[in-house]
Amino acid sequence: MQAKIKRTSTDFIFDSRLEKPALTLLQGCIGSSIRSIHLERAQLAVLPTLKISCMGRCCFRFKSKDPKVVALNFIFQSHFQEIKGPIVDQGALAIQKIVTEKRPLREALLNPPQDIDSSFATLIQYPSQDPIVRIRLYGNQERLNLKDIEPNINQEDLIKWGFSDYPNMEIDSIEFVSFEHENGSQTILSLDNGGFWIQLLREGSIDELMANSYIKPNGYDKSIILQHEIV
Amino acid sequence: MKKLLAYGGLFLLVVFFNACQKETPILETTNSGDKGLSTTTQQSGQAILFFDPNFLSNNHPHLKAAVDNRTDIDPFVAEVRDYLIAQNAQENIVDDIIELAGYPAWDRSIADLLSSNESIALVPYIKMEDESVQTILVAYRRDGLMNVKFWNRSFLSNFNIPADNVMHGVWSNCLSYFDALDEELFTGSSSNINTDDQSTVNNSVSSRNSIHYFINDNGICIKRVELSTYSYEIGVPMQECNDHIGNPGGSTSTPSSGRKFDFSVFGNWWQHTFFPTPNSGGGTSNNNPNNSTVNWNFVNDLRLDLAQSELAAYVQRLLNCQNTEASTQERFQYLVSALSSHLQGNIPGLELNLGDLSSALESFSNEQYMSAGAAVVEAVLAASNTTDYDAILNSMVDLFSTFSPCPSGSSSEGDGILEVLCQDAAIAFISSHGLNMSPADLQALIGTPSSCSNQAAFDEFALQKLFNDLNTKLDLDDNMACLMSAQGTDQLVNIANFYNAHHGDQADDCEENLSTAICNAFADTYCEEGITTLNLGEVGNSADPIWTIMKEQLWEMLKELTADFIPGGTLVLLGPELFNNLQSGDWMNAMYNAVDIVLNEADVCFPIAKVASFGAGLFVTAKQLAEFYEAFKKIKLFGDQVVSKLYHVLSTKLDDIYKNFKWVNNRVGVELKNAGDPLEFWDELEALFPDADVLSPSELAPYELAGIKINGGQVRISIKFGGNNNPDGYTLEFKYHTGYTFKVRFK
Repeated sequence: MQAKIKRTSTDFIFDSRLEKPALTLLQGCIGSSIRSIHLERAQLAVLPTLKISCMGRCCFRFKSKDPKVVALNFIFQSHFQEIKGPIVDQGALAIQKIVTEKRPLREALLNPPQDIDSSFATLIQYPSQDPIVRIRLYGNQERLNLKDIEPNINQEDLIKWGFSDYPNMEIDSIEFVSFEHENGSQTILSLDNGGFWIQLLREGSIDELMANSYIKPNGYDKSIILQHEIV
Repeated sequence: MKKLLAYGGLFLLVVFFNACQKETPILETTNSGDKGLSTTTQQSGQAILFFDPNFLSNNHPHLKAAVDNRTDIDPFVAEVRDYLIAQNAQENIVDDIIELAGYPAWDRSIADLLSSNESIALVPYIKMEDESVQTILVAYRRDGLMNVKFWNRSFLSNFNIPADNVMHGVWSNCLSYFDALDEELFTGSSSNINTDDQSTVNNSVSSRNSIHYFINDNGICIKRVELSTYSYEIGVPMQECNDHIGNPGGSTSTPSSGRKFDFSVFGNWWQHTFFPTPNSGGGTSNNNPNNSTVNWNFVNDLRLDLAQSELAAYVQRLLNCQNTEASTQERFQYLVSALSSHLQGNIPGLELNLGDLSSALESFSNEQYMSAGAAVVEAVLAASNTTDYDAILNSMVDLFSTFSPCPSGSSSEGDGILEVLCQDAAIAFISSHGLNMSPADLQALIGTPSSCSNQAAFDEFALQKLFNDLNTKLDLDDNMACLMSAQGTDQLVNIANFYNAHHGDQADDCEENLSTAICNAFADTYCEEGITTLNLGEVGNSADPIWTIMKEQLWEMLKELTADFIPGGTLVLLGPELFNNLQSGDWMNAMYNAVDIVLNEADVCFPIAKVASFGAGLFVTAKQLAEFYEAFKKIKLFGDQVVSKLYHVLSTKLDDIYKNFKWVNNRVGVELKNAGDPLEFWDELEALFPDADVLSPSELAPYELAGIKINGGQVRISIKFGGNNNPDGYTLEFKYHTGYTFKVRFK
């Protein structure tokens, strides 16, 4: 899944919202429980609450409701797009689904089923088997004009950034994925440049988390909204 | 008690007789002599007699008349008398004293003023039928505080002290006063001691005494006191020798004055029975007995003295057992045995053993019988926590009067001790090993060993005999070391019990044949490879899956074992008795009952020709079943569902599971044979855990082909190929989250 970026003479469009196939993929998570989380390059910080950061991809392994399915793996990858100018980087999420079906062991040994690869070196057994009942994806949505937000911008900079005129900009990014469990707790993926922050079984609202992790490199606030909800 | 009652009755009869003769109003208060009819009036009457200063002089049939025919008594003796009157008013003590010691001869007492603040009196107590003084009340007052104590002649007479003991003189001194009083009161033609004449006593003794100091070969300073009728020696501080001798060369000197009674020595002597400890708080320096704080226990002391005396006499009579081959230890062991069983009748819960009586044994070994008796009484007191001194005394009296010190009914008295000890040892052996035989049977089996007082040696001897006896009937040669080991002796006893139970007069050939086969199989099963026999004690109730599993496998085993007896027959259902026996660890009876039921149903007798083959078959299959059970006991640690599902897969793959699924050891785990394709085995097992977490390839360990996690990840089950311990084979591995691992090797 790549963000769609369009440029016209007057508009710049950045759209990393998920399309229907991706949403359908995630639909498969609903009702399942997370069995484990596999990380490519992980750092664990033991703070008052466990904080997990992962550079590279992460894989959520779900326990399938289908007895014929051994494993349901969702591999997430964070892509941040640098948009130049006064606009901060914007996140996009790539999703890969791998289904491992159950087969007799002899056959499985002869034809190994597709599974997550060995680059996922770190495995975290998920501490709860509470099923996922809802997935919410939050992102930045902005409709703006560069001149409005930066009246003193000069033409040379615009040319340097590729914006020859004073374009209108449409931005829709993905910054957070919230997996909501049946008991009300949440597992949250915060997209980071090159990886993720992961919080397990977070209690309470996500608003505070979003506010605290907000990126404001040059004073321009993002406008985080609910981009998708899957139930 | 019988003896005391007899004495009491005799005494009362004498009193009654005298009362009639003298026609005194006081004696008329005493009646029939039946102690059971004791009343306040009677006690009061006895007290009146007891405190009458001249009662004995006027009424005792054997007492000599006093020289001066006096009626008054010494002032200090009068104080002692008042003191006892006051004590008796608080608690009746007179009856006990009369029964134990007789009446006091107040008017024939000896009294002395030791110093300005110390007085002493010796009051003889005489029973009406006696012709000698057996008890003396010693009263000692210092700084106004009264102390009283009985000396018992029998007690002192039995006290055997070597002549070089520093206490020897003290003991002689005490005892000599009985002789002196006897001469004064009964036998002498003239009075040597003018009793109740303080000045005469002082002059009489002081004028004739002489004191010598010398240092003996052991370097102890000895004070030797020589009087007209006796002498004694006591050890004293070296300073006294230095003061009187001047140099340690053995010269003597005669002090200017001396005392007749050195009570400072006595005070440090029988501390437990001598003078009660005065109240150090003071405030009692007066002569009023009602204000005395003296601990009033001298009657009990007297009881203990008498008890010790009786016991000492009994102990000493053991020496007279002729031709004895019993050692001192054995004789004492015999004494403890007799005493313990005897005392238990009077003092419930009392159990004496040699450990309690170590000091008594030491005294006994040194032929100090009175000390031994005293130590035994001490031990009885400590072991029973009793304050019923009457019970102790009466026990001793009964022991002396009713028990022969030498065992009766034996060819010689010395051998009799050994026989009694051996019987005791046999009883102890049977009890400690839970043997199913009588002491007589055991003694008949083992004969009389050289020593039965050493229980450990007896046990070893008896076990060896037991094994030899069984080995003549069973085939135990190969299992001797095993069954005679520290762990194996319990099994030897089990075999003996089982064998005896099925070889009695009531047993038929079928029963004997079967039980013999089972005994041999049990011995082989237990001793071969260290495998314990099947014990289902760890199986819970019938809801435990192992219960069902073992029931099925036992059925399979019995079916095979009895196939030769019941060709084409069918087995009856296994009853609960089999499992009850197996749960209680009674393997032999479990097997016996199971086979017996099967044979009975088929109306088949166990043939003697099958004893060997059946025993061997039972040994093999029982061992297999035990190994199978061992394996499932370990699997049970992973939970009942693992047990059930694994057994389910096994039952689809194998006919005789218990033969093909056996525990080897912790390193190998279980060996599984004839189970077909391990990979298919895995598929079937995994399919029984639909809710399991299937391990991804990244979660598999080296050599693992597949794996699952169950119970919230606590149990991990995987199948491996290769590895250090099974390089060319498949292994089913169960792993608990704590690290415990159980392996099944496919063979």
